[in-house]
Amino acid sequence: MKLVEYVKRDSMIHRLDPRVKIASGVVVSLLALTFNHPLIMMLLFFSVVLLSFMAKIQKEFLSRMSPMVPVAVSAFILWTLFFRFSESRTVQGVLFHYGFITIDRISILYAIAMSFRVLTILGVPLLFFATTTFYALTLALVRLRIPYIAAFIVALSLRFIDYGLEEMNVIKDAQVSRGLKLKTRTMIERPQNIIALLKPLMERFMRFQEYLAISMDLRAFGALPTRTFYFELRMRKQDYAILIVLVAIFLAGFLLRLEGLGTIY
Amino acid sequence: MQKIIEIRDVWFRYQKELPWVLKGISIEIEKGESVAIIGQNGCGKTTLVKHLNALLKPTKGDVIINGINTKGTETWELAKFVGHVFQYPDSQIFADTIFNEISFGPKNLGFATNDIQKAVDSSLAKVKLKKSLDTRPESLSTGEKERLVVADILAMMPEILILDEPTTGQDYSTCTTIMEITKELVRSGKTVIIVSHDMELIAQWSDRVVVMSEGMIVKDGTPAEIFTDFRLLQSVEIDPFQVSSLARLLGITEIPITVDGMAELLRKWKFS
Repeated sequence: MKLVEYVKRDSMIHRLDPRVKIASGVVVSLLALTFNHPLIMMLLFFSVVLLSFMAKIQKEFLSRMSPMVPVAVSAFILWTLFFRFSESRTVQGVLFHYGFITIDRISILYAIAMSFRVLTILGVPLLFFATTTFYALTLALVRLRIPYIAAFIVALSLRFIDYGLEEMNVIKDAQVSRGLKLKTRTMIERPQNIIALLKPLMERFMRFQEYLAISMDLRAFGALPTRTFYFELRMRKQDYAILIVLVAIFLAGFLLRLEGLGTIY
Repeated sequence: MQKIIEIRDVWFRYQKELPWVLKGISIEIEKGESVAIIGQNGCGKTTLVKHLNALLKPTKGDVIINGINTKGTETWELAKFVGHVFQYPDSQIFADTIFNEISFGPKNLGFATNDIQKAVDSSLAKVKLKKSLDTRPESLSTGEKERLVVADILAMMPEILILDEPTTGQDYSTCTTIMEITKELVRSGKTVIIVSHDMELIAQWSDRVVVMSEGMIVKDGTPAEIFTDFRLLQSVEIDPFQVSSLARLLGITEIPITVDGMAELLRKWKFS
C-alpha cells in the first residue's frame, strides 16, 4: 500500500495552493488538540473525510486510513481503561467495575474523542500528500522561507516512506520464507525478529541514500547558490478566501475553548 | 512421478478494485523437475512463485504443495518444503556472521544443534563459498552474497527451491555455480523453479519452460519447443537466439537453441 503517494485528480482541493493546504492541516490538527468533546472530534474527522470526497480520492484515502484503525482502537481501549486515573477528574456514572478496572461514562466519551483525534491527526497528512505533489510541497516550503536544500530533503524523505514500506514487505517476505514466525514468537525471540527485518532495511536505505547522493551530484545539485523554479506558486482569490475562513475558524475555536466550551469535563 | 506442485485455476489480484494479475493459471510440476518461468516484466511470474510458499494466497483456485493446500497454511510452515531465494540478497542478509546468517533458517525450523552445524557446512560447500564462518556478510562481494543467500535456503533442505532472478548482475562464475547447484539438486530429486530473463541460461539448464503473458500461461514445453517457436517468442517480446535465427535463415528444419547444438549440427554436415 502506498501511504503518501500523490493521487492525480482534477479537483478543487488539488488546485489549492499547497501553503493553504499546509495551513488547513495545521488548523485542523490544532483544533483537534484544543477540544476533547467527542462530537467535535467526530466533526473534525468527518470534515477530513468530506474533503477527501471533494478531492475525488475517497477510495484511496479510506484505504490508506485503514491501517490507522487499529491505532484508534488501541487509543480507545487505553483511554477507556486508564482515563479514570487522570488527576483532574473524578469518576462519574460507573458503567463497569471489576478489580482495578473502572469504566465510567466520561472515560467512554473521552476515549471516543481521543480515537477520533488520532484519526484526524493521522488523516490530515494523508489527505495532504494525496492531493499535493512533492514538487509543489518543496516549492511551498521554499516560499515559507525554508532553505531549498532543507525543503528538498523534507519532501524527499516523505516520498521515501512508501519506498520504505515496499522494501519492508520484500524483506518480510524473504525472512518469512526462511521460517520466521512474525506473530507467534515469545518476548525473548521478538528482538531477533525485529533485527531480521530492520537490519536489511537499514542496509538498503544506506545504499539507496549513497546512490541518491551520487545521482544528485552527477546532476549538479547545489552547483549554484541561487536557483529558479520551472513552476511558480501563486495564491489565487479562492486561496485567500479559504485562508481567511481558516483563520476565522481557528479564532472562533480558540475563543470557544477559552469560554470552556467543547470539552467533556 | 509424484506431483509436488499443483496449481488449479488460480486467479489473483492484490486488491478487489485492481485488475487480475494471475488469470486462471493451472499447472502441475513433478518432483525432480527443473522448471523455468519466463515472460515480460509484469506478466505475473514473481506473483505466481510467491503462491508456492503461501506468501500470497489465491483469490480464486487452489495451490497444493506436497499435498498441502496453501490456503490454510502459513509461509513459515511451508518453509521446510519450499525454499525461496529472493532477487536481492540484501533483502534478507541481516546476521553478524556467515554462520548466524545460514543457521537462521535451520534454527527457525527447529534443527538440532549438530544438524545445524552440518547444514551450515554442507550448504557452504555446495555454493563453493570459501569463507570463514565468522566472516561478516557485509564484507562479501555481490556474487558471494548471492551464493550466501542460496546457502541460507539450502541449509533448510527444502524439497522445492525457487530462485527469482538468481543471476541478475552476477558474474559468469557465480551464474555457473548457481546453475550447477540447481542441476545437482535436481539430480538428487529436488524440484527447482527459476524465474529469469536470462534465456541462454534457461535453454542450457532447464528441462521445462513455462511462458507467461499478461497473467496467463501461453505455452509450456521443453526449451527446444519454446525457443524454436518464433511466433510465440515474438508475441511475448523475447529475442530468439542468434544460432536459432541463423539456422532458420539457412532453412534448417532441426533448429538448435545452443551453440553446442549448432556445432553438433555443423559437425554432422561436415562428416555426412
